[in-house]
Amino acid sequence: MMQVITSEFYGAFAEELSEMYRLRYRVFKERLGWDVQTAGDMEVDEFDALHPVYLIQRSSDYRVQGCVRLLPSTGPTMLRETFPVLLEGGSVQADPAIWESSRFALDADSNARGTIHGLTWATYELFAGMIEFGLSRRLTEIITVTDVRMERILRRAEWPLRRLGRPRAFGNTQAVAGGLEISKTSLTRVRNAGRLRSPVLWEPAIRAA
Amino acid sequence: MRRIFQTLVDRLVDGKNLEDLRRGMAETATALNLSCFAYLALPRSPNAAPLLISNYPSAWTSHYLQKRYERLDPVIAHVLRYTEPFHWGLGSGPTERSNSERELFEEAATFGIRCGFTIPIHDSNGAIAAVTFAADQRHSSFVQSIDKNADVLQLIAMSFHAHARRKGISDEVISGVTLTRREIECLKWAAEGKSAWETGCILGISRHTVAFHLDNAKAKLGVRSTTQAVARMAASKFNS
Repeated sequence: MMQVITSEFYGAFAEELSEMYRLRYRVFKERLGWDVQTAGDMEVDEFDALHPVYLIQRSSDYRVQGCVRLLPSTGPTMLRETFPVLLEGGSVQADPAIWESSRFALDADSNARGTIHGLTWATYELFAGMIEFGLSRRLTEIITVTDVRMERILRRAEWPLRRLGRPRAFGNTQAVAGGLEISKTSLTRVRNAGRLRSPVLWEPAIRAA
Repeated sequence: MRRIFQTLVDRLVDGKNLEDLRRGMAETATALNLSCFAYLALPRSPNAAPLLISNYPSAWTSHYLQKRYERLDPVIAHVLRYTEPFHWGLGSGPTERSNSERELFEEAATFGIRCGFTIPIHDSNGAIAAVTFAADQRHSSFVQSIDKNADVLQLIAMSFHAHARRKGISDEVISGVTLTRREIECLKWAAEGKSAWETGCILGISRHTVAFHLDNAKAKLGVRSTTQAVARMAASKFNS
């Protein structure tokens, strides 16, 4: 089950945010060894100061086990500010229908009931949740900087990345920038691939006006 | 507690400069029944001054900065070595060992700063900043309040730090563009005439990663050649 946290609800969901920042610490600092900033056992960067939308994913025992951060392309993005080399001289148009995702993280699920095409249900749910969010905001695309390993995972989940530039070797991986289609078709493909039967993303009914 | 955090986030997002951040955080400290807060961002080079944003009495903060107390402060020494948030003050936390450390604590006490809770902020190079909530008395209610709200305090500290960085206080700004530590290192070695492979050997990274950092820096600066990027870097040093 997935949940949207927008900035007007940061206070209400402070516990969930704490869990999310701790998940990000475990994944990016401990597991992947990235050069990230940490406060105690939480990971943070300056893009968190732009009041992004966070999607969090809960496990069957209600723990926060997955997350992703979303920012509109009409404002600062990691692709423009942190990794412009991956655009190969191209540019990202500021477009209200295009958002950027970053800090995509998933705990290694030791309770995984099984995998489909080698991916856990949690992975499919996180992707479906992103597409549902996109559809709810009338987006056409989500752009992102990721690595070739995640690119393969996206392809297996039937949500392929449209490359914006060639991959570049970076550390022990290859980074690549691309766009992910937001459409009912792509949602159907991911749902079918992951055998998801219903919507996965929840948002407070009492949203601020 | 959650409303306090929400209020702070709203204030920080609307804030346009460091003074706005300071006021937002001061209100938060008051709402938490704490006397004061201090955000200290450690300088990247040893001789530069730290950045201090706080509502401590300004007589204390200017004295602290003028005397370079960040080099002596046992709280900062602890921040440099440990990543976990910690209490300090009478009976807990880093204790003063030398005369000068004890003098520092006594001076702080005269300004109403006797105990506190500090959240260190690190990157893979070490400590980069610390957020402290301080009080003039170690009431048990102070300790209880901190412990009960430790999570949200950590969130508050992190949010403040992220906003402070975002508002552009960084000594790696060249031509209005922020370069990472690695990008600056690679440019410096390129300026020394090192090839990507040689720079990789020096920094312990592959030549592909060096090329990535150089190309990324050039893309950020909007220049085509490494020579131009190095020239921009040299020019900004003369101007700062």
